[in-house]
Amino acid sequence: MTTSVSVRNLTVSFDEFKALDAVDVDVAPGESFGLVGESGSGKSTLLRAVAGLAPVTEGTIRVEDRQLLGARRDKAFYRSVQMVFQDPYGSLHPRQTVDRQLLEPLAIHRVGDGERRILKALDEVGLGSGFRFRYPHQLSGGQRQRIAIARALILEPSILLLDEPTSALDASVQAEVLNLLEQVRRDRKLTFIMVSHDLGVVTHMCDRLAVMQNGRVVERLSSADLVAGRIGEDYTRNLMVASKGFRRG
Amino acid sequence: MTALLTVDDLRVRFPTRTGVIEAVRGVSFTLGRERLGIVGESGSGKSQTGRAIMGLTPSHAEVTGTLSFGGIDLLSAPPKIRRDLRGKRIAMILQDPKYSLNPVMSIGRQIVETLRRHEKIGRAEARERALDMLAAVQIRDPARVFDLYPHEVSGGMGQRAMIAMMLVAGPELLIADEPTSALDVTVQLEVLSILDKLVADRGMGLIFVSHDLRLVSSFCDRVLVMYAGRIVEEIAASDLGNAKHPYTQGLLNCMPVIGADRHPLPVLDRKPEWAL
Repeated sequence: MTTSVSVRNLTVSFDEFKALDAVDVDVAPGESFGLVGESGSGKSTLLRAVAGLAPVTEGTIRVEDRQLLGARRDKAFYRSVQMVFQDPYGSLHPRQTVDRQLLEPLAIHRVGDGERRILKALDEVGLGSGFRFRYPHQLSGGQRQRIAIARALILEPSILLLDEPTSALDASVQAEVLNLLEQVRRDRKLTFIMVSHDLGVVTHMCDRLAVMQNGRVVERLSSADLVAGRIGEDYTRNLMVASKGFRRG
Repeated sequence: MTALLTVDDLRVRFPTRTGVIEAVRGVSFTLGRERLGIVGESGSGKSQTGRAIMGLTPSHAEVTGTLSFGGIDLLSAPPKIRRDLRGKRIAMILQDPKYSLNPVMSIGRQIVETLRRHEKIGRAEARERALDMLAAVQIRDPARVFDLYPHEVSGGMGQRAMIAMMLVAGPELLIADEPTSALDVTVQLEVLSILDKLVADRGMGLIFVSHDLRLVSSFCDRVLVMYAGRIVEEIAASDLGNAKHPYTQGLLNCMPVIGADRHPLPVLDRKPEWAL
């Protein structure tokens, strides 16, 4: 099977603490893969390790059949893999206009035709060119997350790493951003790896998912299995119950 | 039902360089010993409503209207009276225990502080009451947690400590502003069921402020839906399926639900007339 992202026996340690403990994950090209778990389960660390933002102690990461070594990533890697972070308030430079933030990846990768690409990227995320010269503080949370998505897409990557892309947003805005992500995935045949603590969001967006706890994958299942209640682990079942909301018992 | 709190035409205005922003625009409701939910998106004025009742509105803002709590007119009451009410008869649970607990005071001392501020009570007795309260929020080893600092406990534990701190003086009205939004889903339920039980046992009035309509409706008797500083709909929680206002319906529909295959998700089509 060809894989887009293949993680083998991945371990990430911070001193004595193992944030990831021998994790295996395979994501097929064009697939949307979900990672679910509580805080501290290692789901974000896994994404960050792929992006080269976490120290890998052991194991291998292969992206599009190229083995990645340590935390070093070359330019070609960032052209094919981009990341969207949780907090749109923290992930955009507060003193740069939208235009500059979108121009930066193009400049780094020496991509020409900036003008057209920026306008196209803004258009694609549903913001008009009127937003081009605004600063982040002049945008709402949902608009900021759209800019973060535009910045990730402007290099035309094939893989998008999404770290809780909607958990800082209102439910109504979350729906808009999720729809946007589905739209761009369809249009560009992107591979998604999406981290979320919300089972509803993950089953909506992903075909398959891995449930993580204490740095380990405790269960792998398809969204269809989850919906149908074909669940093997108690932990997953607990998450499922929790996602249904409060019951007076 | 006697009213515990009456809010009439509450308005909160913030003067800014570009003009006055009215965050709350004429909110009215009465609250008995019941659970009332206030739901809305960011910027709808739900938190400012709760803060105005508690008396935590920033001093540069202008608050008008009537807030009547147990016969006391809160807005014209002198600061001394409000200080005596705050923490004793009206208490508030905030969103994130990481920021709302004092980082340089042990949890036990923070709980005792509330007690000693409002009651003439000895040191040993205050400690006893604080330990009982920690046990009531289902902290397994209260004596150990009493001496811990906020950074030494998890989010769920911190929020339970916060609840203990707020309930120890036996308030009649509790305002909970997004009490579980910063917590993991599995911990959320634990904290909510503790809160639920304590509110029921003690017969308090509860105002539950949240952006999560489904959560609020499963927790409260009655829900106020706010949009742009106004109440657009008031509805019994059990009757949520029959919500009339398109905004309420939109909020209910836009959440991805496990098992519902809806692509794309329905989004809110905000009408300017909702904000009128």
